[in-house]
Amino acid sequence: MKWQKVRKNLLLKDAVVAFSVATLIWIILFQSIQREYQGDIESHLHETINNQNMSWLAATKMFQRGAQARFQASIYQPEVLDLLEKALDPQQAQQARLELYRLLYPYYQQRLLLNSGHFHLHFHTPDNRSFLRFHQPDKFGDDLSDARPTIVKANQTLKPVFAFESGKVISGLRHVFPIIYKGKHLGSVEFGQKFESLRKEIALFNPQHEYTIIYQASPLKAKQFKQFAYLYAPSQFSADWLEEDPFRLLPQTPLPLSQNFHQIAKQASADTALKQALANGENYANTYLWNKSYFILAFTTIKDVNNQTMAYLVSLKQTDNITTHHERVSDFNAILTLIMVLVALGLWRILISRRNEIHRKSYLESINNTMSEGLYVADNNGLITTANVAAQKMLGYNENELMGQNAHKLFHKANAEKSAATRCPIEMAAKHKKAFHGELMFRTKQQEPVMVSVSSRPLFVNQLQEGAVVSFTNITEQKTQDEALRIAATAFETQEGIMITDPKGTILRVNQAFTRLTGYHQKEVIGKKPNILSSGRQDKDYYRHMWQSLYKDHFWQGEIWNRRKDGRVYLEWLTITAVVNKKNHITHFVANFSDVTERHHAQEEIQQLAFFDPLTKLPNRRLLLDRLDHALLNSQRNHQCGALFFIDLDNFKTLNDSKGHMTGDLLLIEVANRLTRSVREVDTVSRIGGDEFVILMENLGENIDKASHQAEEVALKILEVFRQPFKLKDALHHTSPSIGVEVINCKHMHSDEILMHADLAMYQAKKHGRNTVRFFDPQMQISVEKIANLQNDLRNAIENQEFELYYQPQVNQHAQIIYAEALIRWNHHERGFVSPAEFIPLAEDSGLIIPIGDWVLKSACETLVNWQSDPALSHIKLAVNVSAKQFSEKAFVNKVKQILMETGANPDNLKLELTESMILNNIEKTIDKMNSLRDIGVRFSMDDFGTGHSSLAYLKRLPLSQLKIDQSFIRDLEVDSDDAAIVKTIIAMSNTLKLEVIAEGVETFAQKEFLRENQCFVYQGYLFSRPLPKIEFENLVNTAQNINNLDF
Amino acid sequence: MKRISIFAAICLSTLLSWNCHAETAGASPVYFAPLPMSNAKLNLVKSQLIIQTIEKALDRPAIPKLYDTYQAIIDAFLAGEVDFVELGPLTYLALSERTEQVSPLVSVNQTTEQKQYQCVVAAPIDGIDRLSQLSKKPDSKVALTRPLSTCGWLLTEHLLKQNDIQLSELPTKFLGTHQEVALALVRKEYAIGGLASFVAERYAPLGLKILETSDPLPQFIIAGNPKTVSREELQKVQETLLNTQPKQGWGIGSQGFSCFSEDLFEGLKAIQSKGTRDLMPLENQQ
Repeated sequence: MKWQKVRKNLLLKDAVVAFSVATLIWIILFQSIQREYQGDIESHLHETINNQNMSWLAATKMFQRGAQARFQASIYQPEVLDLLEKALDPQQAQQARLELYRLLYPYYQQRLLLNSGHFHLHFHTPDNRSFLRFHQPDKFGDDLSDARPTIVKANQTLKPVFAFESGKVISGLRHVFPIIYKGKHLGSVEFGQKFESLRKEIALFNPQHEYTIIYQASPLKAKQFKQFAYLYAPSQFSADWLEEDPFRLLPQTPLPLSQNFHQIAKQASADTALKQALANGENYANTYLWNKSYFILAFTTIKDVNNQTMAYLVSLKQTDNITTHHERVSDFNAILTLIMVLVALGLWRILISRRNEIHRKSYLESINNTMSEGLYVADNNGLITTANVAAQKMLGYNENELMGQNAHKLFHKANAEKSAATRCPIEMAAKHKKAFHGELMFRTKQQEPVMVSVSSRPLFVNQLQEGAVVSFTNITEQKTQDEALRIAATAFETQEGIMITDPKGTILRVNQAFTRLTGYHQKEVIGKKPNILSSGRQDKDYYRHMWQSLYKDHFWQGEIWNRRKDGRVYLEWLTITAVVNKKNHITHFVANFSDVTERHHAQEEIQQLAFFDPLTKLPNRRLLLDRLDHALLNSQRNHQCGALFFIDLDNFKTLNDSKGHMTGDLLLIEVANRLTRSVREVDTVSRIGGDEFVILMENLGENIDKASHQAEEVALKILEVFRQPFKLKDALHHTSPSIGVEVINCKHMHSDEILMHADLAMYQAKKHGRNTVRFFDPQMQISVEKIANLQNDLRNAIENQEFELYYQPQVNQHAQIIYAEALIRWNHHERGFVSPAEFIPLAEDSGLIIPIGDWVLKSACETLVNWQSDPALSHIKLAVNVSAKQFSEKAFVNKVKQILMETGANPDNLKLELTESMILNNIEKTIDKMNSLRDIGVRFSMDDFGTGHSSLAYLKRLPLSQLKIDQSFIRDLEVDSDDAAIVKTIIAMSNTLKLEVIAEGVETFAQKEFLRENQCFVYQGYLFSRPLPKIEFENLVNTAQNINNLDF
Repeated sequence: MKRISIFAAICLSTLLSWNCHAETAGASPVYFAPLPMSNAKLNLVKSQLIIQTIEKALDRPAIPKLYDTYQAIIDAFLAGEVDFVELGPLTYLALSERTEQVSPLVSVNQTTEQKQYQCVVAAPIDGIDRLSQLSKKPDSKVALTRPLSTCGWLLTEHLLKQNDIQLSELPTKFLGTHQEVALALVRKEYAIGGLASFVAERYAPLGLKILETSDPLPQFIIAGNPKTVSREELQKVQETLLNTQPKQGWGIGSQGFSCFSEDLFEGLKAIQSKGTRDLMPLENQQ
């Protein structure tokens, strides 16, 4: 069926070719005939135009001669000329017009009757104005210069002018005669013939023609009286050309145009060539078919006085010549068409015959080339005479390269050395007129070996052997597949367990590794389902998802707990691959697995280490942050509040230092247990480092107030459980927590921020006396940020030279300045002076106290050097405060020595003020350092004495020279008997130890008197002077020296 | 010959309004009769503007019907053959005497400047200067337009009577149109003639003078036939005509229309009552 369809298409194609050729010839011949026909038509049209032109000229000449006769006979008469001469006088013009009208009215009426109304008489003044129109007597005096060139020309040249011209009322053939009388130019007179008169004359020459006239619209519209607009209408040919008197209103107008004329005009209005000819003012003629008849429509130009086309004479004539001619051409074309059809049929026949021959040959070649087997034919000499496409492809030679070549020499030989033709089994068989079948190695053009299965038979034509036909098949792939199968069989017996099932899961085959891993032998599992291995640890959903994945993706991979034959459960890493056929249907499942139980356990252990605190088994910081992130997401998604508790054990370091880390660890474990018991099972209790625990509580409801309340209850509960002592080994230990709480609501965005808030709150709890709870307050954040900013500024303060030393006098009982205390002041570049109470703790916390302390010491020494040269100041000893951190530096002593050496200050005038706490930290080292400095002359004063835990025992051992009573005791000296008693005791103690005693913060005379009465003779305080800048202090000292009468 | 001319005119009018008919082919036509003119085809052209306006107002085809005499128009109106008519004032009065079923709709403006209509008695420029001179020439010929023309017998008689001259005692001839009367006077073929003032004024520069002018008279009117046209349709036509703006061109309505007023007809009726001829029959009054 398909071949028939192809054959049908080919026949059709041949037919198309044959008929196309014939059609082409037909077109050429047809065009030739048409050209000749068109030539005849054009000649005919040309003749029509010429005739029409000649007719028009003859008619106008005839009327011209008549007009000349009438002028002489009727106008150029004395009575008329006298009136016209009279009209030259404006005073007499009206009367002359009236008389002229009355005089010539009978003549005018007569001419109208003779010419069937086609007569026109019009007098003009010498300056081209209308004097009297007989057809419209009430219209006169109007200027005709623009509208009537014929009149202008006649009055200018004083010669008669004859031309067709449009007017303000009607158009027509104008005969304008200038009137010269007695040597005067009286004006002109015009005889007019309407087109109808001319038409009748022309029609006499060509009675079979129908005539009309069309006028160019724009010049006519410009000149005509508007009230006579109805005398013209757009013509049927073009709106640019006007038809005259469309309603046939004027007397004796021509009969309306025929129906034929209207129909042809309708056709012509669409004729672009006509439009172009009209626009160019050219003659035009064309044939039009209407009602099975041919008509010639001819347009000849009518020129005005300036030889411009102002109108067209249009004629229509039915022509039998063209109709006959056209019929003859049609007959000839019909005969030509018939001949061409016959030619096409003959050509088609030839093409079909030729195509059949080609097809037969092509068919055989196609069969040969369609064969998947290679085929060649060799002659009796073994030379190739033909080879099919498969042979060419397999061997890599093209047809030309094979033709005439000896097959054996070219590609039979598998090895170069085996080249003797006599050894070729194919040729040998052919020589013996026998067939050959076997496997041989061929070699391609690229010298690649190809394993082929060869079949050869001798070729007999007319019972004579003409060689042999050899066919061969490439069996290289088959050989490779055999090898691959062998390798696959080996690969099947790998270390991984392999199980092959049918699409329903029935086990078909397993390997030896399967037996080793599961304990089941092959014969025990063949025909059974894989669920014999099921451990029961995976639920049905797990297997359902696995099968869904297999059917959808043809692949599944994962861990699965299975059970061995001996009942032991093991974890295997299982990969199942679906085997699909070409139709994408699953034919088998191949599962390979390995025992990953050991690896699983190792991973669990790694997991534990990575996310849990090894000591307490609680989640570590990483896991906490992870859960906190989830909690925040949950909070945002479900609008659920939560809380984060930051718990720090109070004084844990002391326990660690005093009882050792083992004891500390026991406490941490116990704390972890108590915290875990204090919260819900769903809450996360974590240890994030040292003695810091964090509890995360989620889902505390949508109301933040209620959530806060719940969090507070939990915090109080934690405080409560800490009240019970902890049993560590055999001893009981009391500890308390400081708890910072941050309530989580969906506004929070980052876990770090939450954790920081809780930490800040915890810090506040510590600050407020420990063993308490504090909720995060945004003010904390502001305060912390403020502190951080200040710390940052502090860091730059030395470099920016914002520090300054002030000096507060220390006086004796006679108010003489004997010492001074150097006090640091920070003149902040933005804030101004910052209180030392504000920035010193920050400096302590940040470690900046070290460089600041160094700067103070160095500056004080430099001051001492300055004062050494001033007799008034050289005796003053300067006290410098030393911070605990500064003092605890190993290199503190050397640093002080180096500064003294560098500045050149006298160590005897330097007094370092230490606090009780820094001395007590490590008493032995402190004594060593103090002694080292005292040896070079540096003195020490115990600052803030009375606020610490000083004991007489170690005071005695310290190389102090002075005790300074803390100002807190001095402040209430007059009202607090306890403070007075303490002061007295300190003074007594210092006297006992033979140490000088100084009181700071002395602000009233009564305080000074009390101290003096109790044997304290050195004072410092506002009673004497506030701390002063260096210059002011020096001025004060000088002034005091000069007055020398200060006495209180 | 005249019948053939009228038949041809009707055919032409039908052809002219063919497009309009095609658009409103579903509705029955209405007929409009203009005042008679010597050139029937010109009369058709003159009627085109008002024909289009009536069609626009009623959404019905309108066809002009031409009649040779005023009397023929009145007869056709009474017979219900025409729906709308153009009438001179006198023709309107004649029609009103015959029937109450006539609805004057609007007055037709003759010019944009002068909306009043007057009749004159004119003479050749070189003829008599006063009508009183006419009494001395009892054989003086009088040119008239046509029967039932307001400026025809009635007003000419009235104006002559004011000068104690009896028209009936003078030889008269109906020349057909106001223009023909004017030109005949210019040619001095008649001693006097009766015609519309605006025509006489147009020909005065050529050789014509006005001897007597009437009081203002009603304009030509457009009247509807309530027997054949509903009151609503008459009202629609009236409103549309009154809203018609003056247009470029020529014909009835080219200068616009004014509201119809009976006031001026009182004076005309008074003149008519004093006239020597009855309005009917008219055919015998030539």
